[in-house]
Amino acid sequence: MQRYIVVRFLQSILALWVMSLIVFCLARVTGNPLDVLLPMEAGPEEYERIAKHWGLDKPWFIPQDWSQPFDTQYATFMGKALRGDFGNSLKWQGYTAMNLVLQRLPATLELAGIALAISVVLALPIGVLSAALKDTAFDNGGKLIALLGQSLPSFWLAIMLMWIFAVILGWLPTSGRGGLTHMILPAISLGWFQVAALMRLVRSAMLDVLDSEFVKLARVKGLAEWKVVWKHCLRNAAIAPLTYFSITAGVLLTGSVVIESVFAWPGTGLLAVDAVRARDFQVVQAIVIVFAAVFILTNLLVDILYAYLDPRIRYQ
Amino acid sequence: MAKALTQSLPRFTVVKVVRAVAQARRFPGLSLSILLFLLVIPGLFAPYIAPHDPLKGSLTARLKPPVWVNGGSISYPLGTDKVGRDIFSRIIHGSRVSLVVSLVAIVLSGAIGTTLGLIAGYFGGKLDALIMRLVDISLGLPVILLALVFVAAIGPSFGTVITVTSVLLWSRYARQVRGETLSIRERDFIARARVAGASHLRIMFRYILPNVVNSLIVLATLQVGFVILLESSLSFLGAGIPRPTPAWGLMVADGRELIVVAWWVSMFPGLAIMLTVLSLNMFGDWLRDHLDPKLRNV
Amino acid sequence: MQTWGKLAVRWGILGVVGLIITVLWTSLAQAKIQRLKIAVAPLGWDTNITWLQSRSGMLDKRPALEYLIGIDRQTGAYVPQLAETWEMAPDGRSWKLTLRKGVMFHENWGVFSAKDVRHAIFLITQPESVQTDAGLWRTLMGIKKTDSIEEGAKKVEQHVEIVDDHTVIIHTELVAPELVDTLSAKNDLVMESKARWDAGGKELYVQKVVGTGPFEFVERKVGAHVLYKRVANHWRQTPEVEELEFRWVPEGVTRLATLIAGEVHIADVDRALQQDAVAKGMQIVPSTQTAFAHEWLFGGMYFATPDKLKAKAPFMDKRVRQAMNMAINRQAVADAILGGKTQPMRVTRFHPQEDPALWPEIYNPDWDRQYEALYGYNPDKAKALLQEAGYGAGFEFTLYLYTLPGLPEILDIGQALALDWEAVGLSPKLVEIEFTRVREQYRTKSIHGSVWALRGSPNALNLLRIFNKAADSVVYAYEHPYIEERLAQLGTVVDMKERARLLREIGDHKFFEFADMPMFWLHAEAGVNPKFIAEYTFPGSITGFFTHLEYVKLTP
Repeated sequence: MQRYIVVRFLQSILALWVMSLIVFCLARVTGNPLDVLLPMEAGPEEYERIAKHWGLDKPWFIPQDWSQPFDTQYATFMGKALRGDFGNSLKWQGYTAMNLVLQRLPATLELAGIALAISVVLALPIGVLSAALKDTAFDNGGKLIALLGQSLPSFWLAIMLMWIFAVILGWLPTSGRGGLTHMILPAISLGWFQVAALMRLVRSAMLDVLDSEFVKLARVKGLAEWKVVWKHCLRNAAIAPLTYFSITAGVLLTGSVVIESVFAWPGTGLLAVDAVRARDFQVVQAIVIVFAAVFILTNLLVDILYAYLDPRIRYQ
Repeated sequence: MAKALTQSLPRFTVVKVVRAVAQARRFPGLSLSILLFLLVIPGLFAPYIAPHDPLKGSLTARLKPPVWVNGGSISYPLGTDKVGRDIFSRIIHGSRVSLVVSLVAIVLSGAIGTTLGLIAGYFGGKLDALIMRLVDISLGLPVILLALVFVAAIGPSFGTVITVTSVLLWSRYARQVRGETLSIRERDFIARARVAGASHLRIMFRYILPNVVNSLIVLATLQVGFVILLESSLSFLGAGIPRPTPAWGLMVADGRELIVVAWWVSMFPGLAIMLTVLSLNMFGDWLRDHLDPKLRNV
Repeated sequence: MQTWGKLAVRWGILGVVGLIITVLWTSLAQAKIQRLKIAVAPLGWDTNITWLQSRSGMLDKRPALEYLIGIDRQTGAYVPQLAETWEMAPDGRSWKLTLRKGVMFHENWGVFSAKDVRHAIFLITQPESVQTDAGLWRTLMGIKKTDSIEEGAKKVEQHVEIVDDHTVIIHTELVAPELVDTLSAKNDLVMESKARWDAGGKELYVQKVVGTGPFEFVERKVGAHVLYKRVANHWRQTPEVEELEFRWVPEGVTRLATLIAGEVHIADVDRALQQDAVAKGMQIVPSTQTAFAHEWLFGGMYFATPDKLKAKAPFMDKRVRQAMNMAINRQAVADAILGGKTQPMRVTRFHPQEDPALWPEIYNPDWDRQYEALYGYNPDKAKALLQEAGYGAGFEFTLYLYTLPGLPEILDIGQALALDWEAVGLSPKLVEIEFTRVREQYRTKSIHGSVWALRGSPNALNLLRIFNKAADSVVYAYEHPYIEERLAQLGTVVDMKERARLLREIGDHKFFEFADMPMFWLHAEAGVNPKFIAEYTFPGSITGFFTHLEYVKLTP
């Protein structure tokens, strides 16, 4: 068991390192940040001056002269990154890349959290009742509503919701970050997509359990149907959606880019888009690596948990 | 705008809709026919059906409303867009684009994902670990950022959209196939085949793959809808199919400014997307229920 | 029964009185807004440091900062702000400024005086400065690109002579007869406090924007908003509103939604949505002055750099360029895509009213008179010209599509122009690309066989320096030895009339040689909610557009 943990941990570190290499190259492939950040009127002398100042004239990997083997962009990047310093942002002058990501992260996590909560709160009861009332109008109706959420372009849904609820009805604010009322529309736009998938999972897990032996026994014993459904089945069925959790989290975090754009929600999605557009390498690297680290770590923990619970899956 | 909408859609009662969905569960007549009319027929016969050239427009015919609204005309049944192009023709040609992009992306990612999944599940050990870490990495890379990076480097193009979509999708196939391969390879007939001297390659592709095909089909059907939606999100951020190609997602994204003033520019391609993806999802559900009930967790 | 009746009447009266009071109170409470909120698309930058972004990023700092010379919001003219008088020496190489007395910096950082002027020039000429005018000021101060920050500071000290606390003489390496423009609010030399720099340097500057303006900085939430509060008894204009908030909203539809829902009072409403805003009761307020120009450029016009020139390319032939100008229907584009609110532009960035303010008689009336005959919409003549030039069968070229801030309609305009060119037999290939890629190409003089669009402010001389100079320049849109000669002369000539003559000659050359495709002049527009705002006048000639917010009049 211990060997398994160690091996998996080392593999995760390797995966993270590969990710950092990929994002380092990708960010620089986008082009020259000077073309974005310097004013239209900047002449060749400006380009030279600022390139030198920001260290953009250094080579990527291979140093110009070997007496200073670490005077390359990659070496500087890795050296600082290992200490948690992802450099200064080029676009948001005066802030470090890590600073920016951490500043904006709470907003995105908030949004993703509420969206997840909404989708779970909707999916769980609908899934359970769909399973219990299999093949009835409710089952089909529930499926339809869930499928609808999966069939609309997210930004379209977002704009529609905003227009109907914020402008025409005036019940909710249109945009910006704030209290609970500000979170509702963006969270629904983000979360509705997941409801179908989660609902389907819950439903099938419930169907499995409802068919199982101990439920039949409970029924024979004379327990009330609703008790059978809610008390016994739900507990067992609720575990299944957890496996989907990591994928959901990933989808939510990427889907948030569009939603944050529409609702002017100052989160990391919007930060990432702005950073790529501005060729702000440092910030792009910081965001990708932070998210990758979180993702890989979550996977690692889930795998370890599974291995702990089920000895068959352990590393051979 | 809401008023215009209710005036223009025929009235469906809730019961009719639900009954149609119920019908769809027994035989997917409704979803298949929607798909046929929205995706397959236009996709194959677009140049013969579309009344206008989807790329030509004139500024004088700009933003004309659909035929049933005041100011519309029968020559532009669903109205025109910002540059005066007929929306109906663009939607028809757009189905071609959606079809091509989804098919290419899915075939590509499916082939790669299945192969890697088979290898991972069959050989296990270090190969398995390597491939699973690759899956981790590709899932950890934010797809939207990847798309923006490509666009920043080479500009929006078909290739960009297909590459980005494939990077996102292959891992689902890999995971699914790996899981199934793991359970199948312990079965008796595989052991017998190995004893009989079959090579690894032969076993994987002649014995295991056919048993995995069912879930692949279900997955692929469900993915087409996802690809279409992904394309619309990418277009929203300027990283989708390049102009002036008519692609549904691009049309909706382009018309989003006019959602209130000229609602038809976004609404009709949006409806096309919604109905197509809905039917694909319903059809995929039916396929799953009928091909192999064990696939409920796909 | 009677007691019940009396009770009822008593409660009834109390109730009615209470209702009247509530109604009055709520209507009074809504009467005047406390915080003026304005929704804008995010600027390219989000920082408190004025020299680490370019001019367009200054919008969110302008409320707290002032310049030596201001811009009148109604006439667009240069008016005294922190400088009371300005005078050029006869040799054109120095300017004497007398400064206003008694102007205080926020947060008790002292009185504005001559040392702050020198400090401002020091800040903008630092090696790390990316401000739009940084290059210009470094040239004027004689700072070389290899100079360190200390050497630079020394040169600034030498060139900015402090006569006394309120008199300054700025000496320049080159003749600078247009320095009044460079010192104005249209450009970048904001006045910040030297005392504050001495106290805490850049670390202190990062935290807040401190200046002499009518608003005082309160806070900045990166990506969300910037907040200001009013300065009581400001020397120039005490704002009517107590607080000011810039809110960043990326989506155009969302900005419109916030305006209609009453969440903001002024918003940057996209042209496509203006009709709808008006229908919902909002007002679209145009700027008093022209805000910017829009033009399309030919690639590869390197007539002054023979080794970069591709002599056989179609664009090299003047007739082809004229044909392409005559093939496009500018009016249709203006009416359909830009709401008809444009003025025609005859020669790229030569403005009929603004330029003569600096250079009398720069504008040649022939440009107006002959425009229709030479540039007007005439597809038949265009085809004939192409035939004459040997391109009767047409030719292929690339048309780049991208958006620029303030003009997202370039995508539609480009597609419409492409259709016009196709109608005369040409084959434009539409390429959607990020603007920075095009920029990379044109600044390295490698953009051949393509047309691309730009937009920017009027100012003939600046434009020529950026677009039409052959070396050490930016866009290299159209070079020619004729222009080079005259630009060289402009480097030494001091007399404004003489300069105007030289500029006019260049204008003539560009006009008759069909150097590029001038399109329109446009005003900036602000969406305003008349329920809250009674009057908002702004010149629009300052990049960023939504300036002069301290003069906003609220609805009572």
